[in-house]
Amino acid sequence: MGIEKRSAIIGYPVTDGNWDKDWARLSTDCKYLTDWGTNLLKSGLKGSIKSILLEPYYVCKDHRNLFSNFYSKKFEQISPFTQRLHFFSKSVTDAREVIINPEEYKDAYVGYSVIRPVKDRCIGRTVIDPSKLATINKDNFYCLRTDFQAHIGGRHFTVKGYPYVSQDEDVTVCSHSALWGICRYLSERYTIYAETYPFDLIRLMQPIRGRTFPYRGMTYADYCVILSEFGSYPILMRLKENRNVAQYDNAEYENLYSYIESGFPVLASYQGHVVTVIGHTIDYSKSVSPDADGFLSSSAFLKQLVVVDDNFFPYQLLGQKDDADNYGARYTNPKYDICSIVVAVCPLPEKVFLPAEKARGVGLKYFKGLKRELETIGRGPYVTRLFVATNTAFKRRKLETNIFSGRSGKIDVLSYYVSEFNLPHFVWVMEVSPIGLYKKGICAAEIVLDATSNVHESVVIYMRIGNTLVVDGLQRKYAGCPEQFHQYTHNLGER
Amino acid sequence: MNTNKGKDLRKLIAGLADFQKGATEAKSFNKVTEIIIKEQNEKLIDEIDAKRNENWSALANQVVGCENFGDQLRDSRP
Repeated sequence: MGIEKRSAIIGYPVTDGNWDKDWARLSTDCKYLTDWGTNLLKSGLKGSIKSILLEPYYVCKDHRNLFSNFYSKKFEQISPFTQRLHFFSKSVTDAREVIINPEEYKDAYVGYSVIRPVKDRCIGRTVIDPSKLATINKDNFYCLRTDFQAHIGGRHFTVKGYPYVSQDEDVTVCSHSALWGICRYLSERYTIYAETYPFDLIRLMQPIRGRTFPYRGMTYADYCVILSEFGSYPILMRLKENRNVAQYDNAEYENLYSYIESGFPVLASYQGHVVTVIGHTIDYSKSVSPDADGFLSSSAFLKQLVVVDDNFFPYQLLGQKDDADNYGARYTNPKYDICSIVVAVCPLPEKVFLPAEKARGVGLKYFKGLKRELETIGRGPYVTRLFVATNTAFKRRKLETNIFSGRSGKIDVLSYYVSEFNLPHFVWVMEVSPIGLYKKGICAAEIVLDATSNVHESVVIYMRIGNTLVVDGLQRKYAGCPEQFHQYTHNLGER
Repeated sequence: MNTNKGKDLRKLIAGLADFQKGATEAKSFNKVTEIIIKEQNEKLIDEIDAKRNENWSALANQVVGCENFGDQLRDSRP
């Protein structure tokens, strides 16, 4: 299809009552939208949108990259152009309304989806704001999001989401979709990473097992090479020997959880298929058991992992086998659940030298050794939460949430002091709370570790138990300071 | 609620520089530090890491050397 230079953006009102008919009308004009693509979008957007705008011709940088390197070499003619759909939670009867009065529609912008001219798996770059989806319980949903920009008729719209793309089963497979999502999320969020296009990922594959396209699956070794070339420093977690083993390596599972809690997207291989873990949900009503010392990890309250699987609408919930909301049960032979992850790969930044397992070991040793001091703040069992934070975000959140927290009317001078510490770019933080306080988002103690250190060095930057601060082997109690403070919430998009 | 608006915050929040004025030795903390250092110095190899590495090496060889096993491990499900 050649480009039609005079082609207006078209608006389609959609209603839940007329859902199928409205989408059928759109599909007639949106030629590249296949049945598979229609069903995927319908399944995820129902109840969340009232109108769709169709850009009939859109030059997508990701599709054009694949077109230039692959589709253009095929005998069958595939267009270099795509179409794009914009979703709004407000009724739009005429697309011109959005272009003339964009301010009235900005809050109602749910996101966009590029529709590619390929067989079946037509959904290209798609960014949807999960907080605007009716299908998601916002009170219990913690996931990575970042700002993506879109322009409609020259008007600027922003959507906060995690990037999704389907595999075309021709040149790209599930691994490419997942890797592309990670790379695009990171490059959009952090300027240190360069924007990477789908065929770049194919070029970065090693031809050690033959040609890298069309349609070649990957192993975690491929992921590591690609993510390293991209500029990250991937760390591998082997949760099970293979998919037939029922039980996880608990330490590796804890590592996986800590990296998710740190706000890193994690590639999770089911052995045969790969998805990206971008967050989790929590169930505080779960029955949990502390260890012999009375400590337990916050992972004990994890209910589901939030994943992006290219076969489904983004933000699926990967739960236990018996979880009615487990999206993995929709697969057949094999079905997937939270125990299906065999290997995970996390693209860490360079300066997180100290791995999660070592940081956890050090943190737990200190808290178990100082349990008597901890007991003066509150009775156990004690919940530990381990995560990486950047120096800047950690200091900022301390100032924002704690100084005048209002819990006791006292000024939390210890939270202010964090802003006066010289910290490395990244720190490991282990927070500890008596279980009752943890469920209310409150901490009683924390230890902050230098993420660039190794365990032979001076790992601890400071430790706080209640209103006592420990630095460089010295401690001081600040009687006027509150003993409790707010959990650090930022890594998974929390306010 | 912030009830300190308008007050001179410098009077309410002393800087970290005065930490040492009232600080004492953190005995329990330092004891744990000593234990950690001692354990690290005595540890010649990290046994958990060593076991994982052994498994990794075996698997890596299989992926490269055995085409069938390698295929099983590839993530390519449509």
